[in-house]
Amino acid sequence: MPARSGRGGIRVASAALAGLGVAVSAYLTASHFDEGLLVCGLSDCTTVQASDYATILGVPVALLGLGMYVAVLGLVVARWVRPGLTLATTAATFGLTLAGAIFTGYLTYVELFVLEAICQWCVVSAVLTVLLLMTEGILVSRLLAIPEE
Amino acid sequence: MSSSPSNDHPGASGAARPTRREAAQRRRRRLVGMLGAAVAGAVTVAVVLILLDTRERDDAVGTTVDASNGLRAPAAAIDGDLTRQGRTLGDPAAPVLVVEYADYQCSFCQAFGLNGLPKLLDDYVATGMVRLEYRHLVVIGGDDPDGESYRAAEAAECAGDQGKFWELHELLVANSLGEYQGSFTPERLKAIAGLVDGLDQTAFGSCVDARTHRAEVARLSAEAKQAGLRSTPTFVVNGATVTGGVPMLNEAIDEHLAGS
Repeated sequence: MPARSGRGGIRVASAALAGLGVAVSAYLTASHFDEGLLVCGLSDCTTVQASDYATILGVPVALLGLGMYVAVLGLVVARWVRPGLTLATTAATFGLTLAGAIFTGYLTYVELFVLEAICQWCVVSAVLTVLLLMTEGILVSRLLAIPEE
Repeated sequence: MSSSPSNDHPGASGAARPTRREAAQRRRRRLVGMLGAAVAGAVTVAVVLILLDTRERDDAVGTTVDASNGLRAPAAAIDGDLTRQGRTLGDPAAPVLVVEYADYQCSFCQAFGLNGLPKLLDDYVATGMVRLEYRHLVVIGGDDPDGESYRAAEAAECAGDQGKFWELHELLVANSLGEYQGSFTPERLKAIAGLVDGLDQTAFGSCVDARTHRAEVARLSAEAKQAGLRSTPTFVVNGATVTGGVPMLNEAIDEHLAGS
């Protein structure tokens, strides 16, 4: 029972992180199209959001992030309501968050060393992605464990 | 209470005990297979996104035209039909004047020059609504009068002496390698200038070597700093400083056009 309740806590954490990620990336996506929405007291969000690195092939990076968080949230909910799919949904969630973390690492490098400007909301999103990867990594490691006889 | 899958709860009989461990092992093998596919997919997606992003930037820089010196031509050359007067582009009677303060070593200035400028020229300058002026604001190595940013700005002015400021300007933007990377040594500046059609290379070389425009570049840069400008690129639209990137610049231009 303790292991199961611990897993439940991690699952709640994943859902909460994905929900926060949806909120932050939706806000960044909206402010990509309307810069007046961008509130950024601590850093230089406008430089980052208005830079050419804010889009890939015309698609806002914030929208890609929103897509990832929505997909993760959907998988986390699916894992909850369909326990029989736990293995598939956990593997897919781990893969999605890993892809997100790698790309976030690249974007953070661009912010620090190319644009030399930091966007606080982008940092929040990066931290959420890394935390999601950690919670999903914990779930994966628990699923991989083989019970003692 | 709903029943669980038999693999998870095989029952309490003695015969089922080894089955539970075997089931866990089978489940583990399945998960490892799925994780392998997920990790491979994740790495592939991330790498493709990063490659697409860097490819997009390389395309904007243009094609290599002088492989021995690693020089490239900009993908979108400035329209030859635009009116050129020194460091300005466009109709002198345009209702809006946009001044760009920039540094040739600054990567964000390069990003604007390669991606934002062509659209600004198409949308506003070619249509006679905006006149664009470029001014030097050395912020990278600003304390070193022999630094690359000063050298590049002086070279642009040397080309300007021959009415070729913008021809060299777009090549300097396309061939910046980043900060303190040797982009604008006198030798490389002359190689870059060698790509400008009709430029008297001897006169240009003498101008660069004599540092004819050293004082002028220093003066322009000092004036910008005295006006409170600290970062590049900074845009001033009809006297009002615009913070932010291209969307804010376009918004400011549209506001001034609406009010004119």
